[in-house]
Amino acid sequence: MKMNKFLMMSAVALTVTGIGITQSYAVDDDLTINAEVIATLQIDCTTTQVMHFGEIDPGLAGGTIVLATDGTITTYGGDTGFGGGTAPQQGQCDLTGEANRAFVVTIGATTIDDAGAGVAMAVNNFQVDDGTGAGPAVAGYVANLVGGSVTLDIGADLVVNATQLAGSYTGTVNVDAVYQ
Amino acid sequence: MAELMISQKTGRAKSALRTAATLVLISLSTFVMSLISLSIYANASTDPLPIEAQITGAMSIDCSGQEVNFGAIVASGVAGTITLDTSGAVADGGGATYVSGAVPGVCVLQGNVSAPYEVDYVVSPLTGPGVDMTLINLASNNANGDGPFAGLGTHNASLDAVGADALVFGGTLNVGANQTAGLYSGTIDVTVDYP
Repeated sequence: MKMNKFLMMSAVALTVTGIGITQSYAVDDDLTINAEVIATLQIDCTTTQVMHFGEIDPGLAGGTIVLATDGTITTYGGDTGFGGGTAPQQGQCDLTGEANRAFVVTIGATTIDDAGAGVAMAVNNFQVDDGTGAGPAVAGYVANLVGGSVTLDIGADLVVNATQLAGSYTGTVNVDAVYQ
Repeated sequence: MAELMISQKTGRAKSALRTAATLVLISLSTFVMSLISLSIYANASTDPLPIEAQITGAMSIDCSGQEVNFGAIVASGVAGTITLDTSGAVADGGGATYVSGAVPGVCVLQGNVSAPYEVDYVVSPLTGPGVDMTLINLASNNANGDGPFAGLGTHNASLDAVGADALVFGGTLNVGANQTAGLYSGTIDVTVDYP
């Protein structure tokens, strides 16, 4: 009887010891979770500088005018020429957002017209320069928001049709900027 | 005369008892000697006795190699979510916009070869310059193919043939409306144990 009691106590003791050993193997570690909320990227192309190709002499055959990002007309292609008067200027957009974050600017093609009898003229091959060098905007122009704000200079090509009617032609193009 | 006969009978009885006792002693001695003899005979031979012991190694966990990172996020006037799955894929919803830089977190485990184990999680909110952001729908998986594991609670998995495994973590981050810009961080306390 005493022996049975002894064996039972031993079994209980071993069981308890066993539980203790199992619990001692629990280990833990902290896995850090990070997130960065950054400033909203904002673009303003309306209170800055309008893109202007100046006054154009279309000629009989028409041609393409290339407006550089510094506002100069580098080429009057085809039969076009400078008509004098209003000087050409590049367009400008201001970007603000998280300092030193990369962003991508994309600009598609558009047209401008005179809201009258004149045939619309295509504007394409947009170029962008944030001050570090011009690059094409169709495939996306990549730059950094140094200091959290930057001014984009924008140039493009204007396709002047043959015997383009005289008039004041206007239009808009969407300038998309997103963080990279 | 009668007394003499009784005395003689008693004497014979005692003698008989002594004889019997002597025989018993001789028998016992013979038996004991036989046992000793057997014992001596057994000690004269050898046989290898197999000895085994299993050392149960403690598990180890290291979550310092790759933290969970929801990357750069743009908040808006509408609350939203950023969901990072354990493969690294990211989806944004509501007014939150994912930008870049998200990676799932990893904890590396070591322990007994092919041993099953249990894992539990405790998640703390992400604190930063604005209101806390919470991690919901914790997603985890393991390299040994026991997962994926959904949410909190105890999950079961096994170490591989070299006693290793890796747990991978993602989840859904709640981003508040107009969440203040800045860095936020929190923790997942990962506990592993043999079952």
